[in-house]
Amino acid sequence: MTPTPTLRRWWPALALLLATLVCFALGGVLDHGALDLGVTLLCYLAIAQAWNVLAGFGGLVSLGAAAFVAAGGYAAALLLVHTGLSWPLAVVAAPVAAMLLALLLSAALLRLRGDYFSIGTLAIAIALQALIRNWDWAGGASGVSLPVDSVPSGGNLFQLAVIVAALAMALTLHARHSDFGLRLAAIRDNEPAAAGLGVAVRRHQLAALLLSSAITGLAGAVVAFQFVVISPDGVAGVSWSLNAVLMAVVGGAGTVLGPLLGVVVVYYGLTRGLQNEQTLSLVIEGVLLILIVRFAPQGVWPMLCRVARRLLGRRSPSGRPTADRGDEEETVPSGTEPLAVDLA
Amino acid sequence: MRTVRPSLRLACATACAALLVAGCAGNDTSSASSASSSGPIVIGTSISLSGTTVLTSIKDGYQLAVDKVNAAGGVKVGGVKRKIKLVVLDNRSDTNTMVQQVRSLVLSDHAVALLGSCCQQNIDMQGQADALKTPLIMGALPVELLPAGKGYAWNSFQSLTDGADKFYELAATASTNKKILMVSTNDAQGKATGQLWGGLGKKAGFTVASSKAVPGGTTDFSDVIQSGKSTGAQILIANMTPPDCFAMWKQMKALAYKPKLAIGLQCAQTPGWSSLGSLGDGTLVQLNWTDSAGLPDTRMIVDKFAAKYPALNDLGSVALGYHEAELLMSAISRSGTATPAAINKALAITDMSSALGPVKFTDNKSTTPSFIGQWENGKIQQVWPAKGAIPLKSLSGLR
Repeated sequence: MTPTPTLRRWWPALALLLATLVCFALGGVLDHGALDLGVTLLCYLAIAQAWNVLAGFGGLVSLGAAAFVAAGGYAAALLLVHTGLSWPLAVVAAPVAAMLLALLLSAALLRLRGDYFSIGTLAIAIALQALIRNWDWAGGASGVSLPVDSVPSGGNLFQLAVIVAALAMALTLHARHSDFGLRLAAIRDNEPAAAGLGVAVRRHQLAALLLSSAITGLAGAVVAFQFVVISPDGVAGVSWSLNAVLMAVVGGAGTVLGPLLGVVVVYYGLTRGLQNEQTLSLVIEGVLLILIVRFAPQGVWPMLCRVARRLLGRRSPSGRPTADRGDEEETVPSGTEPLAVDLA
Repeated sequence: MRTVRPSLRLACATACAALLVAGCAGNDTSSASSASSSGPIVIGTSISLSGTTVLTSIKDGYQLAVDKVNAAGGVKVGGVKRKIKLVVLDNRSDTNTMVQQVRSLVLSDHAVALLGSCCQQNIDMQGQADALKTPLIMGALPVELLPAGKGYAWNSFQSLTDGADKFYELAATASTNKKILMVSTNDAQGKATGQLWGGLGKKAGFTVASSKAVPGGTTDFSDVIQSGKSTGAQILIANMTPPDCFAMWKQMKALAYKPKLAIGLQCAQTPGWSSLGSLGDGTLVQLNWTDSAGLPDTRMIVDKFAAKYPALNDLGSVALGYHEAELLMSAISRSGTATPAAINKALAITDMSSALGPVKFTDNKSTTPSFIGQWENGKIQQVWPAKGAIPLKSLSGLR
């Protein structure tokens, strides 16, 4: 039976809604260990998807996700500690703080292109970490302890993480299926051509940066609640940036489901699965990244789909780039697109 | 661009989501009954065994204590002897990994208590212990630096005050002009240590002629050294990471700055100090343990690990690990039920002697003795307190 065009158009959103409801319900079923693991995976998913919107769809390869995790995490934590606000309000403040930081930095960052943008974002993440380390009101190097009884935990924290991850997935779906996403992809693929066709380059990049930072900041608030103690080496650690890149690139940057696969492979498969062999885990992560950039620059997800298609004897109508934005088709950067070159 | 059929995408997405959910549900790998059955009692640690800090010697100390107890049949809890299972995870010197591992140890592996890592990581770990209501025994963090928490973190280690007092007692016996050049990292721990050492120095009759705060990773110390020379400071107190100290010592030699006494807090405690060769000779170091002070179990630690760890400070780390694990297992035994809450209560009334000395907690802290050692030919020997010490030698490396 062939789905109707309306169903085809809306099935990703419906699937996301269904998955969100199922995961939300799991918050009352899973044990503490599983809930905690779930929170970690969902936070990584949100951060990787936020990076994916900016870099995978927008072509702005950021190494500064940690700055926005820190902005959101510290905003939520400091409001809780210093003002006694309830945690829902602190959660709302997190994306606002991250967006304000992004807005503040955008004037300088969006003038940069390619590797310079990446280096600029990395420098900001490191500078922010140093700033926090020397900021006494934020606890300095020792960080800040959140009031344990005032932050959500267990099932409540898991459900909050589900909502944040769902928002990140929704943002990615929007980038995948909307005119906004199409324009972003056009800017990513050929900025002068996109500009020549009337796409407002700066405005779209700013929107992508703000949306991405908001989601990352939200995830930062969840991380702060989970960690309870936030410190410059933890919530503001550069490893957030590196993991976001690694997970999205391994799974498939510029795809909707690639980062989900990347989170599972990198965190659950490698970091967690090999936690008794951390050095081996690091080596495998590094080798995996090199192999993917070299042999499957689109990531594992598109590669799996291609392999599955071949196994089932199906072929795409055309292996060439297409402007078709039909809802049934996943559009990913082709093999030697700028993203892969930048990361290599 | 390429296109992918939605049915394939759906199939792969389903598999991916199933993996995620299965991952969450299937992570519970150990017995949930660690705290209540007659099976092994799980204790855990997330410690830095790779990356910027390697604490293998502390881990060896943990294992030594656990092996000793298990060889005797385990700890006696409520009349039943139960083995201890020590789960050690390497956090790669990364705080995020440490936090996630600690949570996994408690929530998935059902560890009833935790053993610490080092330094700032212990402070981060304290928050987890409080949040998870699981006791944590730590060392490798001066007792003054443990923040007030919810009562689940216990620190048995030397104090900054005692260490500084010992140093000034020793310095008073040397022939100097009592002028100090103080160099600290500009982070919170560096600032706190610098202020405390400076204040105690004044009380002991010394003068801080110059005080400098430098960022971690500094490579050019010429202005710091110049200030030491211009103020005529004959005592150097350097509170920095090993690479920074290495750079400064080399530049002191090059710029002919020759203090009469120099102590490397943090940096000279690492075995890497011997890589400076003769340049490091005569440098003083603060120790939490020596093999000549008559501390409990010294002979056993030396016999088992002197070949693996020839340097005294590494053996001190083994002793530290052994000390922490022994305190914890004693509390488990006294708890009666081996639940986290009962162990925590038992820790509060600890009154015993272990490898670092006597332990009795006040406000979750118990100060163990400090010693001052001196590097000579790649080895450290105790030079203060006088009992068990050899005479102080000159700072020959910078002469």
